[in-house]
Amino acid sequence: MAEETQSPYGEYKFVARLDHIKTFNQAIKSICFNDYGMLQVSEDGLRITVEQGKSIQATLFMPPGAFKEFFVQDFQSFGLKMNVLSECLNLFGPADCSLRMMFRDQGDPLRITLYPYEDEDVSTECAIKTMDCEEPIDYDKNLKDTDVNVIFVKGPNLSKVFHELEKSAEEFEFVTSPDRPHFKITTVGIMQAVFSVEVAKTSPMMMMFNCKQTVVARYKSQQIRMTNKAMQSATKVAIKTNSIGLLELHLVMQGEGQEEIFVQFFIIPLLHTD
Amino acid sequence: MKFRALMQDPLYMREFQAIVATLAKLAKDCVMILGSRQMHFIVNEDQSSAASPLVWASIAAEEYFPEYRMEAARPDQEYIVLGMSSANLGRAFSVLRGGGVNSCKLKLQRIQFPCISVIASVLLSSSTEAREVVHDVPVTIIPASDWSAYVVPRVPNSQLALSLPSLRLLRSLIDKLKNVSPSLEFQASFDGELNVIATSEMSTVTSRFQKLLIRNLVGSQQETSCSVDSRKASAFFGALQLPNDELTIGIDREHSIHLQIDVRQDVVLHSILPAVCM
Amino acid sequence: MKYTLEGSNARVIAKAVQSLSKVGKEMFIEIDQQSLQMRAINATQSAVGSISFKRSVFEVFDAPNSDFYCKISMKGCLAVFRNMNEVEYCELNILDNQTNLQVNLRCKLETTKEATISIIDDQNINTNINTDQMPNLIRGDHKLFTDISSNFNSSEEELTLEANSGSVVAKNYIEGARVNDKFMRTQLKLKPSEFDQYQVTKETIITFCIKEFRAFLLFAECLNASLTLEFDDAGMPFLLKIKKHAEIECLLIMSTLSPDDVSFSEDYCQRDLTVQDADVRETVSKGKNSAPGPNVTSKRKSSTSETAAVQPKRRLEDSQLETSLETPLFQFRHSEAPSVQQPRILAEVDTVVLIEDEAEQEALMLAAADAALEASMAPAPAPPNSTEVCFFNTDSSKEGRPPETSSEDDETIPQSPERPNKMRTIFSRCFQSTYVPREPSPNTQIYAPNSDTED
Repeated sequence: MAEETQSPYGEYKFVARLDHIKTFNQAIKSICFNDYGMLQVSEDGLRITVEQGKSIQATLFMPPGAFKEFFVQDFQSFGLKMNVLSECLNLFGPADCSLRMMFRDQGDPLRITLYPYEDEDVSTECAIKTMDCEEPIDYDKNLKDTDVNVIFVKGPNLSKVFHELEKSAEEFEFVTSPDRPHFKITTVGIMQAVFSVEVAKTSPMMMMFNCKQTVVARYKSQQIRMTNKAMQSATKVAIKTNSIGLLELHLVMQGEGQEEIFVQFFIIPLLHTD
Repeated sequence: MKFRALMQDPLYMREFQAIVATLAKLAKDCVMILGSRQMHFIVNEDQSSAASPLVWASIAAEEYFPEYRMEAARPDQEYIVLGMSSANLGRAFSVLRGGGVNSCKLKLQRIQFPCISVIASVLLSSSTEAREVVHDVPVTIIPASDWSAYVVPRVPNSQLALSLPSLRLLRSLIDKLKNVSPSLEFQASFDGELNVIATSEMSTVTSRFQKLLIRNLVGSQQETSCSVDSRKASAFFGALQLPNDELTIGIDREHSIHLQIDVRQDVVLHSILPAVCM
Repeated sequence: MKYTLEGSNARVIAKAVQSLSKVGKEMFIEIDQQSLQMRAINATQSAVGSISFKRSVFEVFDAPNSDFYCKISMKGCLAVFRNMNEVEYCELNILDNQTNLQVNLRCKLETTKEATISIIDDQNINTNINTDQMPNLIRGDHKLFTDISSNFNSSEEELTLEANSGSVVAKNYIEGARVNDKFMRTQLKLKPSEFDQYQVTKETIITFCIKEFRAFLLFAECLNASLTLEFDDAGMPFLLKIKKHAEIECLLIMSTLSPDDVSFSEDYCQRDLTVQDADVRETVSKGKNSAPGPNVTSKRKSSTSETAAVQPKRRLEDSQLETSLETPLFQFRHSEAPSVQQPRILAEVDTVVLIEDEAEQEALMLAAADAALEASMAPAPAPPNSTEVCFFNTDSSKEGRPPETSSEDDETIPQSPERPNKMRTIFSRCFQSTYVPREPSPNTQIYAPNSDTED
């Protein structure tokens, strides 16, 4: 006890400060597709993971450098309600705020305080209840094979392509291939119509194109659309698929003068029925 | 029974439009009380069920209307009291929002039923002549025997009234807090601090506004607080269409909160949020 | 068959699709030697819009050997032409024995979008209205009409124009018609000088649907073009025309509400519903209610073997189902939320139900008149036996009108009768000093209701 009170952080095992909440807020919003999230902090940084069923997972990752101040003692991990976290970051609407995050110990709430820049006499503190949680699923190793198709695309351009996909479709079919069509998305399940979009590998939106095999896989359109919000604030996106069609979207978001923060999606393909 | 009024100043017309638009956002119907020198609007005077708060606006006629003539039905009566759809009224005055309105007349008349005709004369860029746009807002005339139900509310007492210099942050905050908790606790202290507290099963949100100007202090208590329905609070803030940013919050301990916006000297918008049991 | 356009022209086509999508759920496309036309008809068949693009709009224009027409779903069409900003080049192809329309959009950044929309039917609509000569014509900039339209609520269904040589008044009501006492009347008085061309030789009051009018106004805005309104008397068709550089021509034909007040018998109506233009005129002049409408004739291509093979069953049903499109175009239906709300005290709403047999007979006669035309099955429009034709009594007789409202006397309003019961005292009590206006917390449960003696 005596040792702990000497630390400038007192009893707190995790304290972090951010100068601007905008990017963090956007990143949290972009993964809010399910109620519960798992927060993990270690010396590597902060990770918040959201899953839905076993078919989609999103992880926000912020390295310590993305924070103005970052302190963690041991490895901390707890569950929390994502919409509560998101609501809390949105309390002042579009007004820019700085933020402080503090966590004492297992079972204690996560304390987030917002300080809006436009009025130094105003602040708000949210104490968010935390709970125990399971470990997130690890899809990562599946995509470390050497035969993975990898495409790096400029975020805003890809966002537009995804955004314009016909919303009434039930499924999307993705093709990544060394040959034409290099990258193609086709709608499945629309009455009386089929829509597709194709991007040539020579397109200026492609930053890197490295496909060794032709992979054709279908995904639930609803799950692809869950990435839209993240895509809108991404500067760069890496699209990776392995031979069975496990899809990873790795998005890079650039904070205001800060280091990059990352959002990673894993989406499981639908089984081929025909 | 006669009523006629005329507005000509574009700034005043826009202000008047903003008041009416605020009322239109708050409730379906409103009551217009026309006195010899004052005009009042009341919405949600019946507080029994609605999720929106009681709001009223009192306007000194001479502030806005260079011409204002009111004749009650009988010489011994002081008012004309009318009920109408606030949405219709809002739409009728929305023409004042854009520029180019020369003048705007209000006239109580009977067409097939009584209505307030809003006659705007709009100057066009393409032509030298003005175009007349007329909206006839149907009204019901409320007989004197029922007036007791439509008295302009009195500003309630409060132990402490604080003046907030800027509405912006509070407005966004209250809008978000209504999703956190169905009730909000307002705590004010004599050293000029206002705390707004929302508690839910999953979180507690405490917002602090410091260094506020004290408008009114009664008694020697250091602190006073009141919990109100967050939907009502949010409805009031969400409806505001006025350019004014300053707001006075008066707290009557565990009784009510009074919100006041001084549009100008004799044009004031009020709201009362009654306390809820905690 | 192939048609290609440069990006900016494709964006104009996209706007045309968007405007037509506000009219109907199906898109009819017709291609002849000179132009491509797109058409839509509204659900109540009271408005038909058509937008025609001359072949000069296209870079490649494969003129068909004989006129080509087809019907596709508007939804699909709208989906292709939704995001057009990036489009540099557009190619339309009629594929696979005319069963599919393929749209290929070449966009910036070497992106290609492609859509294949199936052709539902080889069906067309047209009307036999004479669109040349109308006694009244007013033309003005789209901004003027946007200005007029913006004064009316978006939920409004009809617009009434009172036109004479000195002015035109736009209203959301018909003068003298009894309206609901919650209905807000709006009027706008316009002078001839506000229009580019103003020629009103026949004083008239006409009422038409505002929704389709707004849809075309939107397109005029996109073209930055002026609009021409042409009309005759109430009950006669109303035309809206837009022209741009002789390359794009739009025509919106709408039925107008007949203002006649004469109660009419059902048989009269049935006859009127299917009479041709000239007869309508005659009926109107007799002061009878009429469903002013030309017919939609449904054409199908003279039996090409492919079509027959694709849809072998239809042919058998043709004669029975023909009527669905042979019934007149222009009927007014006030089924959902009429802007002039009921109840109108003076008004009676007459619902005329077409008797199937007669309607069919009529239709067969018309079909016989044009032996070349073939009927078709139209899935969308309501079958004739459910076609409702509603008329409002509009009380246009001068004597019936209430006195003019502008006179000073009318400002004096007699006191309403006093309310018998004491009511609404909850509020006043709230501000008595003895009363604590506390509400139950919204999150607490109420176990017993208020025992309020005043209620």
